[in-house]
Amino acid sequence: MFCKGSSVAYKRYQRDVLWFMSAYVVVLVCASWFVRHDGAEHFYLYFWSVLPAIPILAVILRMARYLREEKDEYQRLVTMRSILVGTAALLAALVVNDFLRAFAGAHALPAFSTFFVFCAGMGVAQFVQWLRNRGSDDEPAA
Amino acid sequence: MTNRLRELRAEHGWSQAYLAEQLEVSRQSVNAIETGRYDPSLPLAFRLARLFGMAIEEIFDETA
Repeated sequence: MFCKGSSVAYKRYQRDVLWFMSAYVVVLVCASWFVRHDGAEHFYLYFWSVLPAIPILAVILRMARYLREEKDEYQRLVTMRSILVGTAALLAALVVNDFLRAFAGAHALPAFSTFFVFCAGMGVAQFVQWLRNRGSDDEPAA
Repeated sequence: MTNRLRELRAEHGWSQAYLAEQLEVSRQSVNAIETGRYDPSLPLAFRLARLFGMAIEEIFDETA
């Protein structure tokens, strides 16, 4: 998260998220293939539709665990702020889209976009924090 | 809240990285406290005070 001196907890979190996202890509590709080729039966259709959500939910749970494990209170605050910005971005996108759909007949947000909006919001918040840290990155002591 | 962290660090000739290591936090945390962008929790303030051998109120000033 644009952080030079990452803590042990953060490194573990990063490693796990990388695994979950790799699993997500694999599961998504498999699910798309099976739905296209074997999607006639209702049970399998539901099964393959829900399966890609599991790694994403795992990432969210891992985020919560990271917040519990992080010993550096400032880093914890920065992460919580970025999660808040991500949530706000997602809510804003959904609320605006709701009204557009209700009053202007607009289409719903594209599939798979919700988690992307959340991550984009988090990313922007972390980038801004990184810029702020960089701006005051003065080391001299004496 | 203002603090004398930068001044005290200079007196001891410590770098931000060294102080961060002593406090078991990141250097960004030390920097954020020094520049007033973040007020530490009571446990961290106590750790800082212990490290410099001073009282918390000698390092942090809530009136400013």
